[in-house]
Amino acid sequence: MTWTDAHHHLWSPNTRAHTWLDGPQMAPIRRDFDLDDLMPEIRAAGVDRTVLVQVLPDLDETAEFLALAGSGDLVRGVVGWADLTSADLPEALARLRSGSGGDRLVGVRHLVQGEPDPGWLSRGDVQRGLRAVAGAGLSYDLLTLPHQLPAAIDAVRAVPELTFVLDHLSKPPIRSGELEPWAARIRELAAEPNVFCKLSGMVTEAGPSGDPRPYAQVVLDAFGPERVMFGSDWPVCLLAATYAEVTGLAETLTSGLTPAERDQIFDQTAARAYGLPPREDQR
Amino acid sequence: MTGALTELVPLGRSEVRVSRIGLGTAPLSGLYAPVGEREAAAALATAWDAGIRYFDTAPHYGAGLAERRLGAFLSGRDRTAATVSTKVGRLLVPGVPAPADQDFHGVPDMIRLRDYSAAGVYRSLAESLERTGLDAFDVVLIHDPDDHWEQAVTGAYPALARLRAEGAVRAIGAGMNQTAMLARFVTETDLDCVLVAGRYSLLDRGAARDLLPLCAERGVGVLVGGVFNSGILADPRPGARFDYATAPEEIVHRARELAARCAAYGVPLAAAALRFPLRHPAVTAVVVGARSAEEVADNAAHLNLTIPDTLWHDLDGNEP
Repeated sequence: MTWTDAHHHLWSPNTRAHTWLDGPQMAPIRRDFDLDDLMPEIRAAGVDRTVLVQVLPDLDETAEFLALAGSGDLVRGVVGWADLTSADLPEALARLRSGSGGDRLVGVRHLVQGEPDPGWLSRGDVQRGLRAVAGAGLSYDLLTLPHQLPAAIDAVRAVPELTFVLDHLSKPPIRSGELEPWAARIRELAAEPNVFCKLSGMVTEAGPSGDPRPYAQVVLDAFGPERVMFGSDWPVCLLAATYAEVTGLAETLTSGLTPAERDQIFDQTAARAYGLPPREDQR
Repeated sequence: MTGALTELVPLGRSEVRVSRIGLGTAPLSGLYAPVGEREAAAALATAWDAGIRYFDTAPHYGAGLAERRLGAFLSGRDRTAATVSTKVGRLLVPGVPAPADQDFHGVPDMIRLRDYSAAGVYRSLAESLERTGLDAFDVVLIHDPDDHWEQAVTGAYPALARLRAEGAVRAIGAGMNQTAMLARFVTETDLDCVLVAGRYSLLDRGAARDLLPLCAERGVGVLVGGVFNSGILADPRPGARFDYATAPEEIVHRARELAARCAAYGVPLAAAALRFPLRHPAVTAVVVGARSAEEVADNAAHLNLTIPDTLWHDLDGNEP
């Protein structure tokens, strides 16, 4: 089996400030995580390539991730950070690309979930930035909360030339079990052809008692397997589940699909969305 | 927990001490709906009995009514036990208020004349002292100078710094609904404190990015107002107010989702909203408005509630 993990992180609170790790609940993951920690997990799960996603709004972190990706064969893509609202965005992206491992930059992300303005993605300066990301031939990862989906839909329509990837299903309220209005907005978003969705982050949102199945079903029905990709969200997932449990959940959630459809979710969709290099060992 | 939150703590590096919860007096001067004299007095008395010893007011609130009601109340209490802040930047003159200032009901008709000059500060404070009957204010804040930076920093600020040096006020600061200009004040002037409204709440954590780290670094006290973002975090019903206007549908949805997360722990959303800012090490106190004794009592009860760390974790939801 060959799998692509389209969403994981690495961090070093000992090197950079990670204030989001401050709370007592974050203690289990408040330590350095590097590729040596990930390696046994992905070997056991049969994952053989990954997409590493930014954590901090920090160009230096992205440059570091690119250098790390470029030094090996595992991390085939990096979704980095750059300031969408900056007039220097094209230059910033060009600098990242000309640095070490720069060819592994596949996309940009900003932690929109932390923006107080629910309409942040509708802002003119933000959408100008999104056009610049498209102009650079990169994709854009949406990390939104459900109430920010209307603005995400607006952005996806306003910049049709850009490939968007929705992270973590937009963090629906899995704990409470409420589907609406999240589900209606997911269907509205999925109606746009330039959006993909990650099957990721669900264990964290579900907590001990939530049931992710109805949420996964909404996403699979709305986007179809050819626009859904698996992401472990490791090490964040460790707050709720091991790497093996997360891959196990993804397999369970997709058990009704054909092998070809599952190949999409666990490999091909990510390759297409992020333009990952073709495999040399194509099955 | 009441002991901890009514304990007096220093405001920045000044000698002023405040309880970690203060009473904001805008609502009891008729914000959005009239409030009777006795109702307002009962709200103030309930706050005092709950151990609240910090009171924030301004000429703007009820066109002087908030200052009058607070002053009348404090005349019957030990003034030295209370910390009082008022604000400068709006002079009150008789006339029909601008539409933007018509949110207060059952109050005298007064035009708010924006004045951030030194002379404006002295006149405003003299009038505030007269309305309250107090002999001094502990804290004076430059109120909403959003469109008046130049005058505020060359007129009001030096005037307040002089009053502080002379001992006429014990601490000075600025009170606004935005973080950027407050951060500029902290960087470019020597303030003891800022009062930031609405920008550090369960719905808007903007101050955590720029203002709060800056204040922590410089030892500037932070008072957080607008913890309910105009009401929606106290009661997230459709049509609730958010930042002084009717809440957009998206904000109502977000607030209801937060309420559902609180409900799973048996915690009212209002309690989490009131307590949320106090978790940040840079925050000195929250300033919470109330329009009745009942609302004050609710807020006071929320001080006693144990809020589990797991709920804060669920509400933060900021994993990448």
